[in-house]
Amino acid sequence: MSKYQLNINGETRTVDVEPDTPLLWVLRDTLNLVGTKYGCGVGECGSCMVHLDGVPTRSCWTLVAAVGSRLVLTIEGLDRAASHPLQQAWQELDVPQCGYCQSGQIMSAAALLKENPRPSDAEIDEAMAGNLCRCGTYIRIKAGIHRAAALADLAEQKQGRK
Amino acid sequence: MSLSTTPGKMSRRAFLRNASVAGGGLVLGFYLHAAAAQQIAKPSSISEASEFRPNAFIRIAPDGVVTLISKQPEIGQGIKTSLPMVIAEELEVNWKDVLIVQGDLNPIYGRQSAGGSTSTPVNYEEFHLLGATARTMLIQAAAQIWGVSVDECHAADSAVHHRVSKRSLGYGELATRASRLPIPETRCVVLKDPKTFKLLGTRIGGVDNADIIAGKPLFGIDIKLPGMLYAVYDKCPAFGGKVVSANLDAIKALPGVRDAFVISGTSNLTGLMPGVAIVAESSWAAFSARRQLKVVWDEGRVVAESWDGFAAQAAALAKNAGATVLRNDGDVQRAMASAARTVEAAYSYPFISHTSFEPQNCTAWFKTDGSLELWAPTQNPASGQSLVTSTLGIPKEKITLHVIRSGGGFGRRLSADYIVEAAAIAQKVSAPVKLTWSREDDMRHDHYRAGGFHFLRGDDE
Repeated sequence: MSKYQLNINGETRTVDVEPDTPLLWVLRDTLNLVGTKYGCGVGECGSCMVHLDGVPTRSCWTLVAAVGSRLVLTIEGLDRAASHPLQQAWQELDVPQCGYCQSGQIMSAAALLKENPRPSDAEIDEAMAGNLCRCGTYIRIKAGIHRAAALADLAEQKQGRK
Repeated sequence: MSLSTTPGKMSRRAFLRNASVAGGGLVLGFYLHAAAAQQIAKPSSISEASEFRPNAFIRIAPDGVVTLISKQPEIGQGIKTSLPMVIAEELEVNWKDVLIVQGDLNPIYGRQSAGGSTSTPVNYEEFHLLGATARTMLIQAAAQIWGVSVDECHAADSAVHHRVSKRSLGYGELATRASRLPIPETRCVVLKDPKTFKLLGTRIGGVDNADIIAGKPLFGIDIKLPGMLYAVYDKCPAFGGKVVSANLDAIKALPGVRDAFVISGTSNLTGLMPGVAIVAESSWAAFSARRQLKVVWDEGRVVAESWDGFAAQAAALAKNAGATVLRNDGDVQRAMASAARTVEAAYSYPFISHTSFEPQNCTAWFKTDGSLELWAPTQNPASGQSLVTSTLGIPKEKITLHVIRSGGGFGRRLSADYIVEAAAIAQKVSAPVKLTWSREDDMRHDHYRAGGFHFLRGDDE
């Protein structure tokens, strides 16, 4: 076992785990942050998506020893009140079906919107290609991302008027 | 067609349903049977004594909180939202006042199985009646308090209103009074006219959406109990294979591993198959140790089977005459012999895994008193319970099964192999234990949609 200081959702957390433990299992079993999901364990499905220094990263394929000082952001830390424009849009459009992949979908979408606040359909397809949904909610996910972009615009306009 | 139930006049649909399920199944009024109602209505604490519990599915507390029980397993089909909506519609309760609680496996809820798209059609009329019965009683309670006729009162927005005097009493205020009333006969309960529906037919979000988008613990795989251990279960790659030996001592010496043992299992291919369990302090310790596991298998008789073998067998069989003749019009043999053109085609489709996104998992806690508590993402909790009873001999009444939201079902979670595996492992561990299948387990040990081969020939004269 080795001790690691991780910056998770803005807090410093010390964990004592085997160096080959994937970040996914440190989040889920050690830190009780279970919003990040185990889907395939081989970096294929995207349900374990987190941000490392803002870059969407598969946590099942990232060893804890490799995280270092990078800032880890999980679905639990995306917005304190769980009202990120994507989270609002997801509720408004009733995006989830079984819901299992959705935190990964939202994390990938959040990284996309940060880079590209008004993505086209094609840009969404490209950015979201690494996130599978067994229920097939892709159409609603796409609508959710467009809606989140619009909500973020509205919020910005409001801010501008103040 | 109005859904209202009038004495002596049964709708055709209701008749068909009653006729088809008589013999132990769901009949109209099942949930309102005195025994079932008393069981749930029996208060287990003083605070519950003042609650209004007209049936197993509705609880109205004096503070106005309306709790509706969702009996069906939620697998992403939305039933945890839609069936409570039916009650809420008839109950005239504001959706925002409603708290929805997933029901454990319990005979008072009747059949609890999500499969074949039957949850709504089977329960729809019954759930109207549940809500309407409670509404009727709340109106009676208000009428008694005001000393007026029930005909002058109506229910809306989680309250009963008296038109003439413009008085209103909220459901919370009526709860205690309503709880003392007898449950009315079904024939005295009038269902709403569908034209007056406020909730049904509208799109409202899934009740778990807020937790899903916030990443809250919700699914079976998210269960965590104090002192819980984590297990994996390695089964023979060939279906039905048995364990000859395994390097258990080496596995037990690995970091974080608490125990490793062989489960001899049964020959039931959808039950407890033989395998090796590894119990560890974390999911990763168990997954990681499994990579060092070496098992000698007696692979059994099916190991020689393969897709190529099936294909060859099918092609050989296709040359024979058909086993069954469905139609034989005219002289087919002669027509085929003299055909100007023959078209032949062969189709096949593979065995396909259901691949529900949340890998199979179950948390089990075998206690010193011989009872077993299970937390299972399942489409059919009763089959899980009965498989555990028949395989491990734990009596039904000693098994508590919590139905947990499933990350997809697709029919795979009608099977209960992962539930009996978790229970068998828990019997040998003095702590709660969560069994998690790897994605590979899920692919290799699915109860696949059967593959098939079709050979077709047509002749044109």
